[in-house]
Amino acid sequence: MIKFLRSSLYLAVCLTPLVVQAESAQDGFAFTGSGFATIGAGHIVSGTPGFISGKQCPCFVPDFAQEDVYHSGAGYVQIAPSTKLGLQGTITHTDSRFAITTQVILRDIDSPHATLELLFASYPVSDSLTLHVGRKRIPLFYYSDVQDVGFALPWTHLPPQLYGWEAVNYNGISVQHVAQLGEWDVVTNLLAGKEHVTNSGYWAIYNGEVSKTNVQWNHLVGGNITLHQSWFEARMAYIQSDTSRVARNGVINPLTQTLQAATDPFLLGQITQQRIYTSALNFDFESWVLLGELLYIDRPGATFNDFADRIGITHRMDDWEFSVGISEYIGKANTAAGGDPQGQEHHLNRALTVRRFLTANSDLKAQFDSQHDLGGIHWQPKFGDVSLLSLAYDRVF
Amino acid sequence: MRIALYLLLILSLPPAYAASIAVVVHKDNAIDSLTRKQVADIYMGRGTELRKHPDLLVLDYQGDPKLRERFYWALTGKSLAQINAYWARLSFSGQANAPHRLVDQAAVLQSIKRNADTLGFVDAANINDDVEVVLNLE
Repeated sequence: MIKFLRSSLYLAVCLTPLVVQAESAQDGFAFTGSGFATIGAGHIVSGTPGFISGKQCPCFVPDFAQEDVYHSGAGYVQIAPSTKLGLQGTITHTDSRFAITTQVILRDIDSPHATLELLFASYPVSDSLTLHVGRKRIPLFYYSDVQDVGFALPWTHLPPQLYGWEAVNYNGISVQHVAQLGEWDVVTNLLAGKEHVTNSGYWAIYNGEVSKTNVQWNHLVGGNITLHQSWFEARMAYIQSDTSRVARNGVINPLTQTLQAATDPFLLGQITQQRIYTSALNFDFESWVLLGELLYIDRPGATFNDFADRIGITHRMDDWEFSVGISEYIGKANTAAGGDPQGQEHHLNRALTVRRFLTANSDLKAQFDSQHDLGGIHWQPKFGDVSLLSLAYDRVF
Repeated sequence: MRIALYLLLILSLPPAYAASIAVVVHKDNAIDSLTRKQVADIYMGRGTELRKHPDLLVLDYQGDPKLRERFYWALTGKSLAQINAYWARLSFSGQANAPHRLVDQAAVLQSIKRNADTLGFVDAANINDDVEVVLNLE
């Protein structure tokens, strides 16, 4: 309770002076400032035992990249994982329309730290072509660009079966082209860059926090195309990169909970290539929204490939939204490369969400997740089957 | 009796202008008319319409939620909260900036009067000789 009060007070102190929207113009430059905040809480309703990252399970991981974990050892109600405060600023040269955008997010009110999510310059080369240079999101999924902005999401947290990866940002260059083909709006993005993650949150879940795993995605190239017409939107993305990981301190043996040297070449700097394919279809017709997403990652020569999918439907009624969704992640063994069919990760989640818009800029959401850990008998760590009740208050300003 | 009912019905209807919203530009602006889709694309930050008019300043409101609510409902069939959630996806990804927000209709009309490259929306009852209506939304 003391931790809860301290955390709430901390967030309140942070938010109070910042709940303003700033906009000013001076000497040919215009500045806009805005922000978003989410206060999230969760309660593990039930589940089966397991253990990950030194945490007592059943566990639910709403965001692998940030090592956000709801776990049964955290007490009756857990505040930290989804709670965050984001601030964004854009300064634009009004004549040339050259602009610089930055976004910083304060996370984890138990041990607050800030992460730089966006820092890029943009310049409209022509009416249809815009150049971006700097740090951006990797545009893998429908909501990847705003995966931390609770008010932009129909859920209390990301569907972890799709949205949780070891890298979610990149530093590089991208070009956006916008065109109109008949009734269709066509937006194409091409990108190139790289991403290096130190002390990966994603790998802390699998290897333990003491593993201190560094990740590199080099020679990252790809793009995405979005087709939009009235109530229908289709989105496809392809990204490829070289990847490597180094578990600097070794890994935690999930059975004995002791630190041991990493032996898997996958965690010892071996460079592998990955080819990521995603697609999304979104139907937004009157009061109904249907969103389906697919993911496939091909890693030539690796012991497994990734498949994930999600389908969800939302019904709007005045200030209310009701959503149901089902999502699944399957790690499929590549037996030709020595992969163990019984040693793969596999989980399935069903979610029910109720959202109530409190004002035009804020909402309250409640979500019930029922996730089944279907990993093979040799797969470690074990999340356990888990039922999670989570609440979120979101606000943009 | 039937005539009395018709009269009652007619009298109970709001004046036509009360339900009408005018999308307006400066009277000297080259834009003569816009379709509902073009205005929707401009206010939803999508498509190529705004890119065809790169200097166009698009105006919205800070302090007139009723008019905003009517405008966006007429344009998209979505509530203000849904519109703001949609814009959160665009603006917090750095893809687009939401329309410039002014305090009230007087400020919008004044801004359009001063700047030929400005587009806004006002109650049809408030239009004046400084602006040209490019679309009427009922």
